Amino acid sequence: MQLQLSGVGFTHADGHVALRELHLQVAQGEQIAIIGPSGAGKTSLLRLLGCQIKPSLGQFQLGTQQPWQHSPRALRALRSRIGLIHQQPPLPPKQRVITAVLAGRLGQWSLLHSLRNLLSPQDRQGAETALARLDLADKLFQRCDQLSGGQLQRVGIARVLYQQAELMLADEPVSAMDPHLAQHTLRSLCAAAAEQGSTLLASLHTVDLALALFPRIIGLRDGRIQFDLPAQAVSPEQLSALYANERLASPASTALNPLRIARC
Amino acid sequence: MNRRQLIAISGLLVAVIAAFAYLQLNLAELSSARTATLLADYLARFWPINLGAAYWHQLGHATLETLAMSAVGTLAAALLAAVIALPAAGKLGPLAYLIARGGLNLLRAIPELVWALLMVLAAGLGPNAGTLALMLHTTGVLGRLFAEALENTPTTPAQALRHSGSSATQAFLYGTLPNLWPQWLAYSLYRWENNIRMASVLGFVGAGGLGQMLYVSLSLFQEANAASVMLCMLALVVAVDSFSRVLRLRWVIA
Amino acid sequence: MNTPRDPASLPRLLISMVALLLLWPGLTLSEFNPGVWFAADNRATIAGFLADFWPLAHDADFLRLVARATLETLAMATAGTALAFLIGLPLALIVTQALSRRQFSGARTSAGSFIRAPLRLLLVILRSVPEIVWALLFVRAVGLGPTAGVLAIALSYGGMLGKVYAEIFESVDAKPARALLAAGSSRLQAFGYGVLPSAAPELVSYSVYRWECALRASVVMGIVGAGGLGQQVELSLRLFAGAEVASLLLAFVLLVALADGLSRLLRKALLT
Repeated sequence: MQLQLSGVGFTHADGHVALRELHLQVAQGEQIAIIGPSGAGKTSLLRLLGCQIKPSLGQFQLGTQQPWQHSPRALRALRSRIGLIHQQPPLPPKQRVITAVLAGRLGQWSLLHSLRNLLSPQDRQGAETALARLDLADKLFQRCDQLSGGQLQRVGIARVLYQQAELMLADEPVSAMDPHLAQHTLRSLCAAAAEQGSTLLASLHTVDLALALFPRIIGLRDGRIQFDLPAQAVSPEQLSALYANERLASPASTALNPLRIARC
Repeated sequence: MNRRQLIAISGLLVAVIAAFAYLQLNLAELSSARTATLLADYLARFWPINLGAAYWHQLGHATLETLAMSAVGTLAAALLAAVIALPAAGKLGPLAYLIARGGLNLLRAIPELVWALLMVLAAGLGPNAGTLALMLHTTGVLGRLFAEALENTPTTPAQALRHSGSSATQAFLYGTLPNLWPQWLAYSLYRWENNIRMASVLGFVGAGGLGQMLYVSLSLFQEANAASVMLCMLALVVAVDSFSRVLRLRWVIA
Repeated sequence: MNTPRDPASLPRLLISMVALLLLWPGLTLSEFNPGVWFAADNRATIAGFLADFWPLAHDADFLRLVARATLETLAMATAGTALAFLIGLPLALIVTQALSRRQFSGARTSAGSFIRAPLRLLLVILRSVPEIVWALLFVRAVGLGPTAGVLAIALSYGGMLGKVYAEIFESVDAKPARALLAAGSSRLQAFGYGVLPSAAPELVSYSVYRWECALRASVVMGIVGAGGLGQQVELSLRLFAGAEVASLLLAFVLLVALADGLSRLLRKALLT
């Protein structure tokens, strides 16, 4: 799915300006990493691309359409083609992994099929294939509250892989994993996106991973695009300018933050 | 002890004395030897309990009937409450909220036994009246508890599903229900425990179950039969308490 | 790749089958049928009865009757709870482990445990028999009227208070009481100075809650003849007097609301 932003801005209800004057063109099947200090607007940008928030300014085109001119029904259909990977996957603690993964295709299912699937998971093979890509096939029948933070993030990724989303948006998808696992998981995500021909945008706080795995890098700061370059062309000066004045602790602390799953 | 506590305690004492005075209860007479012998004589009539096979056959049926009344009443109430919980948690707009909350309050405010009296009038004698009475009151209790649980369930999982194109119903089923149903089940079991006790006394007003047998045997001065019924009631209450504790441990805490 | 079987499917199937198997006799035995509300002949009766609800019965005689019944209900709950307290507290003091001396003597069993076991059983029986069954028994034993209701509340709530008080005593910090017992004070002294200060808030709060329950219970006790509002409700229902029933229902909805407010007030006054 290709997308296009022209002059897009977003202001929160409290007046805080999150995104300013963004111009961006993404072609079908591209893989892009978004980097930048915390508070730069990475999450807002991803939410905007995922049609969760409506731009306050400018034009946003997804595929060949402008999503916010759609009827609610058409918007729903469009959203079912978009997959979102959350930093803290919002999975109900008491749900089983298989159900959580299968929920990825809810947008394509009828109500009857979703009900039947709730009673007895129908497409076990599909869920297992998605999980196997992330080395989690053995967790198929476990409950989400029995998993670690990193495992949960991978379940969140498996859900989007199973969804076969045409646009995958990942917000710090590997923040709770150790560096080795993070790299392995991101590599699997990129490979799966390439196989499915999906467009992938991921925000990352580890610059090395972004440069190593993604061909195109967008540097975001203060809601503005600082640079939008092929990975090889990003210079150390640009990177230090991007992260200038940022307290060193913050990226590390996001990495160490334990995943908080709401419990009852 | 501060002044407020002193006032409260003296107020309590005055209230207790006033209560005894108003009811003209004579504690001295109640605890006198005469009353004691009177009660002892009455108590003695309950022994030996009736162990006749024919009577226990009847008792077994009444016990099962009590069990069935409580279970079906609770189940029907839980289903109704699950439906009413959505508007009562404010998910369907403020008007539906007010109507649902008002209805639940009314159902809850009237005790089971009064509902049973009304149902015996509306539906005739027998276990159906008792089951309906239990259902009505329990719907009021569970509806409120269910709604509160629903209000306190995190919304992010359902939100995330909606953002990837699922309908509101699907998001509820896959995002909200998994967190919700263990709580709903726990509340229902807790209420069921309560309803077994209630079901065994609703028969006093003619609504079936063990209570009806107790009432009849006491009215006919067959205390030996009454003792057997009460033994059954005790056994039933103890059995259900342990059963629901096991279920709770298995489903809710684990 | 061979996908493993869903380990939950068999238990789920079994549970559903058992549930269905139980549902059928359940429905038969309980004769559950809400359809009776809508059966043609019933519908007319119910509609007529409900139509009678408005206007509420409000002639002076009836209102005086309602007022007297309401006061009687309040008095029954209060007197019953007071007696229950007198039964429950001593029993709790005897059965609680918190004041046991066994921990010092080192003996496996003591005379105390021989007394405690039957008393615990007594508490179980007192509270497992529903209060309204006690009421029915006392109506036969001491005659119609509020006395039966008061005694019923006293016994069943005595059993509950005894059990819960004992648990509260055991849940507070045991060190002060143990120190006092070790220093040779009596059980009662150890309770007064070692347990009561930290247990008091919970005791008060639970007792007030029980009073509220007692009020709800006394409302219905009258249905078996033990005085209070319930007796009036039954009478009016037997006479099919919709307006009176409506007034009475309103009276006890108000009474329960009043109890709610009063108990909140009491808790606030006693606990701060």
